[in-house]
Order: sequence, then structure tokens, then C-alpha cells
Amino acid sequence: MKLHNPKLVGALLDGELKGLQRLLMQRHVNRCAVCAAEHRLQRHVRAMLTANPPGIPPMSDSPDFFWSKIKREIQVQGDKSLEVPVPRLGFLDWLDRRRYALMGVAVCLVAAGAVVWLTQAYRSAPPMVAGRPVMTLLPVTVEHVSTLIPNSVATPVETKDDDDTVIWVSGLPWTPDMSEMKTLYANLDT
Amino acid sequence: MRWLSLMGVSLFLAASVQATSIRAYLIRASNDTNKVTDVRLKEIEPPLKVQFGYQHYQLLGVQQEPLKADKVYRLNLGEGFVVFVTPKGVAQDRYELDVEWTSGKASLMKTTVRITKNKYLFVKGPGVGNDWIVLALTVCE
Repeated sequence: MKLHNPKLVGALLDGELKGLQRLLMQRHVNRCAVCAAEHRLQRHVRAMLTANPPGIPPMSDSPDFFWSKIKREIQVQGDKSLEVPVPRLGFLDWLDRRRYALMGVAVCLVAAGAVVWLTQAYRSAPPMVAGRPVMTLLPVTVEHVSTLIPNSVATPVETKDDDDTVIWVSGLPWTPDMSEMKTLYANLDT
Repeated sequence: MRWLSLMGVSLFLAASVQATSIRAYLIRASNDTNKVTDVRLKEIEPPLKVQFGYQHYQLLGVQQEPLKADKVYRLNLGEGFVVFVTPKGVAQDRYELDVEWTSGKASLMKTTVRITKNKYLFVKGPGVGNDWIVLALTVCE
């Protein structure tokens, strides 16, 4: 059903709409501020016309003559500004009038989220060649390692998984408990 | 629409700004049944077990500092152990760090590593009784 149609509002008031069409139009008028205002206006006009029936007999002019009078009246009134009352819109009306823009923003946000997610997924998954992952940069790599303790050696060792890295410092002095260790290393000069 | 865009941009910036820190743990790895794994090591325990195979891990000390370039961090982990960390830069989401592990006057180990966020560098240190001292280093949020 076409929205904001004053003819349909008038038809609703006149009782010309039937069945589903009437139900839909009534529902739309209840929810749409613009059409509700139009509905109120037309209802008010009808009430005024009912309360003040014309005191003159029905017009006997021909349609052409009547239309020429209307045109002349329009020409006379043409320069005068006409103030049209604008209904005050609420937040829901504001949302309703911008629903396509809001939907566009929502679609853009979802698309941006999908791009970020895909980028992250691509980054975390190693590229595959013939069903096997290609070697990429390891999460932790040791550029170089050394120790100054005599008779000791520090080496990075291969680990059971590629996520973490272990450096093994072998040959460090052994002590039976922590207090002796503190004393020993406190005096060990490198 | 302008305020909506501003709100979106603000939310995006708020989500993307996160402080990166360097964190070091001093751990005693043991098979002693009287010792239990520290609850603060719950997250790090699985990789420790994979790498070292010990049953229990006792936290001796932990230090965390927000990561800034051109600064030397002195992380005092207790028991006389100190770790000096110098961030060198970031490339391909990996942080290049100069690390020196000392105890008293002795420099136990010096290394330069490139480390990804939330991954660990473990250093197996000296033996104490039947246990080992382990240093764990990570870059985290």
C-alpha cells in the first residue's frame, strides 16, 4: 500500500475502504504521524462542514465555468504565502523517516565487521600448499642468546609446539635450596 | 546522521586503544607432591607442562610494566632475580626485545627475541634441589 496518501486517508474517513485495505490503512494512520495529522485535518473539515451546512443552494455552474473561477481565485491568491501546519515528529517518526539511511549504516557496519573478521581469520590461519601449512614467521624467535657464566651455555631449543620458545641455560651452578642460591649468585661475578 | 557517525568512530577508537604490557614470571618447576601449582599460573601452566614436563609450578614472583619504546625496564622478580627488558621496536606484530636475566652480580643470560603478543618465551635457569627455576616472559594487553 502506498504510504502518506491523502486520498486513502479520505477514503478511510468516508468508509470506502473495505477488508484488509481498511485494516492496513487504519494501522498505518495509527502509526504514521504525517497521515495521522492528515486524518485529523480531514476529520475536522468534515465535522465543520457537518456543523455548518451551506446556506446557499447547490452550485449550478457548469464544470468549465466553475474551474475558470477557481483559476482566477488562484491567480489572485498566488503571491500570498500559505502556512502549512507541520506535525511535530517524535523519535520513532524520526527513525521511521530515516530507516533506509539507518539500514545502510547497519549494513556498512556489518560489512566492516566481516572484513575485519576475515582479515583476522586469514592472518591467524597459515597459508596452505598441497594440504600442508607453509612455514611462516614463528610467534617467538630468538635472534641470539648468550651467557656469561663460566662453563655454561645458552641455546634456544626446538619445542613441542611452535607457539612458545624455550631457551635452555645449561651448566649453571646447582644449589640445594633457594637461600644458598641467592648467596652463591650474589657473589658470582661475571 | 552526524552524531551517529561520531558515535561509531568513538566506539571503534575505544575498542582499538589498548595498553600493551611486558610481563615476567619467576617460576619454580617441581615434581614435589607437597607443592601445588599456583592459581595465578593457571593460564601459563599448560605450555609449561608441555615444555618442561614437571607436575607442579610455584610462582616465586611476577612483574608487569606498560610497554614503551626507548626505555629499559627493570623487573625485580624476587629471590635475587632481576630481568632487564629493552624494547627495540615492533615489526609484523612482533615485539623485538633485548632481555637480560641476572641474579646478584651474575648475568645468567642475554638474548634478543621477537615475540608475538600472548606468546611465551621460557628460559630454563639454575637447578635448586630437585627443581628448576624458570623465567617466563610475555607481551600482553
